[in-house]
Order: sequence, then C-alpha cells, then structure tokens
Amino acid sequence: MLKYLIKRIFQMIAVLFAVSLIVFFVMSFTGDPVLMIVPPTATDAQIAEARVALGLDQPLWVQYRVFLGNLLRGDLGVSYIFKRPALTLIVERMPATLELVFFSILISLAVALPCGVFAGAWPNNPLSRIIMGGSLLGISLPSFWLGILFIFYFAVEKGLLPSSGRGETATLFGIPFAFLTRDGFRHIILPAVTLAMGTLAMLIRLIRAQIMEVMRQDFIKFARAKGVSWKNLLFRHALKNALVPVVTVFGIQIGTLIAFATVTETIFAWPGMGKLLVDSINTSDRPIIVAYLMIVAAMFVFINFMVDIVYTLIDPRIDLR
Amino acid sequence: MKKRLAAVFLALTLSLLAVAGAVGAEKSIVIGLGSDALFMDPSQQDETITNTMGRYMYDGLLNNNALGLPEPALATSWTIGDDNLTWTFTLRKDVKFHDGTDFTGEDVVYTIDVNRTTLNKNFTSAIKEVQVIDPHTIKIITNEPSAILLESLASLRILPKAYRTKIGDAAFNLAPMGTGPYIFEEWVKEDHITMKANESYWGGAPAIKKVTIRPISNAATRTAALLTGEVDIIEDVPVRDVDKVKATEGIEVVDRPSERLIYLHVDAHRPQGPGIIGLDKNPLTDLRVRKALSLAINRGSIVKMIMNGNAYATNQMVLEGRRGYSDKIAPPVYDPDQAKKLLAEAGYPDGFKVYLDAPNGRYPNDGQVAQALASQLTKVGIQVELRLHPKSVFFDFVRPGDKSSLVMTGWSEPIDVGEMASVLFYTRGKNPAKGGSNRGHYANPAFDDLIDEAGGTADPAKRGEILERAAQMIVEDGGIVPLYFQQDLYGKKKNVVFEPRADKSILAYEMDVK
Repeated sequence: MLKYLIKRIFQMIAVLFAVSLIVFFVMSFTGDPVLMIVPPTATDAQIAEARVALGLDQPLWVQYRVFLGNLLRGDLGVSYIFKRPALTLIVERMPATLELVFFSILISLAVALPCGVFAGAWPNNPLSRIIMGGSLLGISLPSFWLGILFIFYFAVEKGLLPSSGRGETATLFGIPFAFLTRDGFRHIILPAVTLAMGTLAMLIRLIRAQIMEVMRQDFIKFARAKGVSWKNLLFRHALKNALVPVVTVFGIQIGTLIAFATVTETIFAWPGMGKLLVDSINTSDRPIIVAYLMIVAAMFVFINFMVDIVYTLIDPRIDLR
Repeated sequence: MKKRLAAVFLALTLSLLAVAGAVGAEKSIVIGLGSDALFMDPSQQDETITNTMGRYMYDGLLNNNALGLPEPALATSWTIGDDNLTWTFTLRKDVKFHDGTDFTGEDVVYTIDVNRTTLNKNFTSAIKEVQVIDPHTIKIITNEPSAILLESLASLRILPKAYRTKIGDAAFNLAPMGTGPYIFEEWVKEDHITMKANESYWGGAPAIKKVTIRPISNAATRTAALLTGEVDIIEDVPVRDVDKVKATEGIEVVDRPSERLIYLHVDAHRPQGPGIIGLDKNPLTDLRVRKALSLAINRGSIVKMIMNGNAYATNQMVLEGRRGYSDKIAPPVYDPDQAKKLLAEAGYPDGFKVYLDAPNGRYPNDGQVAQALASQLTKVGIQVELRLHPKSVFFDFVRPGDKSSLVMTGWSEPIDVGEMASVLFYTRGKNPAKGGSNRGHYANPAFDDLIDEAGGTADPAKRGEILERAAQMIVEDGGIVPLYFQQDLYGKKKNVVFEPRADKSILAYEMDVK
C-alpha cells in the first residue's frame, strides 16, 4: 500500500508538471494582456512600461522559470487586473461553487439512483421508457438554454423562485454559505437543478445499463430463489455490483462540475469561481487562468486517486498494487 | 475621549431620530449592472463601473454633470494666471470624509501623486506641480497651456490621505472611503455592493438611503431580474428584449445616444497598403476612392436592420455638445452609383480587393455589422475580404496598423475630438505621446497642426472652434469613416426617477423612488 501511494504521488507530480507546461505555453498564444489593461489612450511608452512591470518582456522560458519557481513556493501569481494574488481570488470564490456543486450532486444522486435501478430492473416497463426518454432530453439540452428557460418560467412567469444571485448568506466556520438562510436556499434551487441535469441524465443511463448487465447474472437468480426481497436484491446485491464504473464516472463528473460550472454560474449570476474564469478569459488575465487550471488539474488528480481507493471498498477483489 | 463619547451619543440620538422619522419611508434601490467593479479604489483604473463607484463614494475637485461636463464640486472656483499655466483653486470648506476627518489641499496633492503611479496617469500628465497655499487654496501648474485640465481633474477622485496611507492601498481597496454622497458598507465580489446615504453630504443628503448594486453579466438574466422585480433598474437592456420589457406593466425603457462611435480607420497615405490584396499600390490614397467608400455604405439600413433601430447613423466624430462636433459636416449620404463612378474615375472601374479587420463580440452586433459593410462595399466594387477577430486578440492585431488598411472599431470619447484624434489620427512616430492607436496610419500635417494648436490652447471655446475645423478636415478627407453612435438602453420600474448620463453611471444620488 505504501509503495503504491508513493508511486501515485510521483505520478501526480509528473501530471501536474506536464499540465503547468501545457497551460503556460498555450496561454501565451492567446491575446496580449497588456493591451487589455492599459487605457485605450496609452502611448507606446506606457505600453512598454506596463509590459516590463508584468514581466511580459522576458522570453517565454524565463517567464516559465519564474512561474515554476513561484509555484513551488505556493505562489500562483498576481492577477493583472485585480492586482491581488490569483490564489486568494479563486479561494474567495470557492465556497459558492462548492455549495452549488454539492447540492447538484445531491439532486443527481437522489434522482439517478432510484430511476436508474428501476429502469435497469424493469427495462420494458412504460415508466422506464419515460425515464429513459427524459434522460435523453437531460443529456441533450444545453445548460445555458435550460437555465434561461428555468429563469423565465419559475422566476418571471410564476414568481416562485428568485432569478439570480446568491441571496442572503450566513457564516459557518467563518465561511459564508447561502443554504443556511431561507432566502439563500431559494436562490440555490434553480442553478443547482440546472447544473445537476446533465450529470443526472448520464448517471441514470449508466446505472441502468450496469443493472441490466448484473440482473442477468447467476447470483441474482440464486438470491431471488433464496427469497431475498426486491428492495434488498436491487439496492444491496445488484447496485453494489453495478457501482464500479458508476463511481469512476461520478468522480470525473464531480471534478467537471466544480471546474466548469462556468456556464450555470454566468447565467444565474452565481458568484463562484467559474464566473471568475470566464471573466478572466475575457480580460486575458493569465495568472488567474493559469492558477485556475492548475487547481483544477490538482483536483482531478486527487479525485481520481480517491476513486481508486473507493474501488477497493466497493469491490475487495480489486487490488491497488 | 469624553468629547468623542458625547459625539457618538449625539450621533446615535440623531440617527435614532432620523430612523424614527423615516420608519417605513426609507427609500432603497437595487441596481443591476453588466459587470462588477474592478476596484473600489478609484485611482487604480479608468474603467466604467470603477468610475461609477468613484462617483458614489468620492468627489473630484470637479464632478461631471449628466452631460459629461465638469462642474464645481470640492473646488468651488478657480482662476487662471496670465501665463496660462498657473491655476488657483479655492476648495470647499467644511467637507468631511466619511470617517469625520477634514478634506484639505493635502488630500488633493496626495491624490494627484497616487494617480501618477497608476493606470490613471494620463489624467495627471498635463500637471507639472501642485502647491498647497493654505488648507483650502491650491495652485496647479501645468506643463503647457491646457484646455482639458478641468476634464482631467474631474476624472480624479479625491482620496483621504491620512486614512489611505494608514491602512495601505490594498486594504483601502476593500474598505474604501471618500467624501461622496454614499458610504461604503459591503462588497461581496460578483454578488453585491451595498452603500448607505451620507446624511452630511455637502451637496445635501441623498433621497435614496440604501443602494445595492448587483453585477449580472448575462443580459437575459439581467432582464429577468428586472421583470421579477428583484432589481429596480438595469443597464444595457439587450436589443432583442426591448419589446418584451416595454410590454411589461410597470416597467419602461429609457435610452440615450452612447458616446461610443463605431467607425472605420482608412489607410489614406501609405503608398502600399498592407491590407490591399493583389495590388502593389494603395487605391485608398486616392481621395475619390475614400469618398466612394463612404458613399457605398448604407448606414441607415445597418442601423435599422442590424441594430434594430437602437443606434444613430452619423458622419460626426463626437456627440453634439462635445468640442469638435461640427454643423459644417454634411450628414452621411448613401449613393452607390456615385461611388461606382468615383471608383472608375480613380482608375478602378472593376474595383479592387481589400481586407476589412473587425472585432467579433466586442461591441453589440459588431460581427454582423462588419458583414453588412463587406457586402455593401463589395456591391460597388470594393471587394472586401472580411477578417473577424475575437475581442481578446483584435486590438493586439490592429494596433500597430501594419497588417490592415481598413479597420472597423469603436471609440468612446468622454472629452473632445482633440483627445480622440491625438490617439487615433495623429501622424505616427512624430510625437511619442501621440498617434499610438493610429491603426490606419493617417498622416496629414495640416491636421496634426490643428491638433497641436488645440492642445496648446487654455481657452475651451477657442479649442472647440479649432477642433471643429479639424473634425471637418478629416471627415471630408476620408481619414475616418464614421458609421453610427451606439445607444445606451436602460430598463427601469416606472416609480424610479432616472435620467441617463453621458458616462453611463446610474447614480442614486441623482435619482428618486416614488
């Protein structure tokens, strides 16, 4: 186990290093941040001055060396636009995103598990067909469209829920969260459902396929012959054996939701870090973009690691070595 | 200590009385903007929302009125010396910052020094020196006679020297304070900014006591927030939503010509145009070709078909009321036959090919407007190959002007033609401070002379007259092809009293809620 852990940690470092290299060099081919920062009336001398101040007059490899040196000290650079540390800006926004993602995962699981299992156990039931049709819609509808639709139906037409923003927050452990207040909770519902839709639909389809596969196997027949109740059969015997691929996909989905809730956040004016990424791309604020992608990469690497560990808990036959 | 306690007690009693008097009548407003402020410290950057926040919480020596013209604020009056360089300003007495400290001339000196080191330094470039004569009199000495000193000063928001030096500029940005009509309360980035009224504001207490500003960047969501009543007023109503907003009961749309002009840079002087395709000479050097260019464009149909009527076709460089707007400039004419004839006379009966560089996603409908231009120009023989650039690379691509001969872009001019022209149309390389964004490499010595002459004039009226001549000269010479002014569109509840401003700020101080 220890040997495995050490090996994985080295792998993670190698992956992150490769990511930093790719992200840094790809970013340097996008628009010139200096021109986005200086006023439109700036003279050539002012532009050159700003370029020197940001260190962008140096050759690319020197810039990368500085960046890597700072990275090793835990410094991800200072935003060109806000003139504050990129890491602080991202961490400041993280609770809002995590909160939103947490609720959309909750919604996805709450809906996808029963629906997926049902559709897998009784594939010919009319209800299963409805579930599958619905999941197809959920996968195909783009979230920006769905978000706007929700806003116009539930907020503008029906007046049931607020259209946008995070609403009132209350602090827990010094961090502001919206779900702790009634007003804030009402604000979460629409964006969380919008964000959950894609994941939910995909999980339903995946769980269904896995369950159908498992239901054909002998141990299910034996279990039924032994007189195990349907509930136990489906949720203990069948689901547990169907879960391994589902956990893999779910892990990746969590990462994707956290990293790229951008569209949903932008539509609902949710003050999370995805919106920060979009704004930074628009202003060519490279330090934030690079820091963001590095954090996201680290997160994915970590989640995948956790997923591997979870495998062993679900299925003792899987050996990490 | 005792004194302070007494003061606190008195303030508490007074505020309780004030609250008691206004129970149930406390007016508040929620404003939906297109983006969050970059800074609360107004000295950091000249950016629309940052400037708006600067107008809420701070004052300048002068403040711009709704038309964008500077008016006395923290300076009550001023005189210019005979040298045309020394300005003496009398400062308003009894003005206090929100923490109760007095505003004095030292704060002005400090503000100008701070702005010299930031991205706002262009507002201080004309100023050579600031002297404090007494706490309420200062002298500003300019490098050369300047007619735009007052406009520049109006862009500088006065910072509290003692407070800002004590807590440092980074902390100041998160806990800002000035002398303005509203007092900072809270800033949760990308979520809201809240402010309360400064009851002892020198200009009188604001009618609206509590202001919440919400950045909602998605235009459809912003409209929805207005329709649900979550916000009272929004900026930048998307053109496609105007009819829906108008049709909603209790909500209306107000508009105003925007200061932003959409126009073409024309490569009028270089013998070989980098954007000309397949010719070793530059047809645009011929005045007849440049005239044909303007005649071939149907601005009216672009405004009507692409901008849904939400723009103003023009042949001017700035809005009426700004220096350099000229009655002598004829309104734009659309005459494709005449354009063809002029092209033939110039020796291009079959036309020629040229690249048109335009941004896509920087201005409303810019990509479609560029496509319409391309097809209109191609009809008369100026065969346009369209190059659309995403906004993050567009300005980088066109700034040096070494890759294009025809550039469509926009410019928002808050002062006058002189400022605009010295950046955009002054001959490149002649003066390091001028012509930096002359993307079409316009090079007309007579025009440069007029801009220089205007720059050395301290009398605004005389400067205006010179700039009128300059604007007329370059428009008739086809160095610029103005297309249209955009429109600023606001949606608001009918009980909100609001007049749009030239600078696009939605200022609660000037508003009321009925």
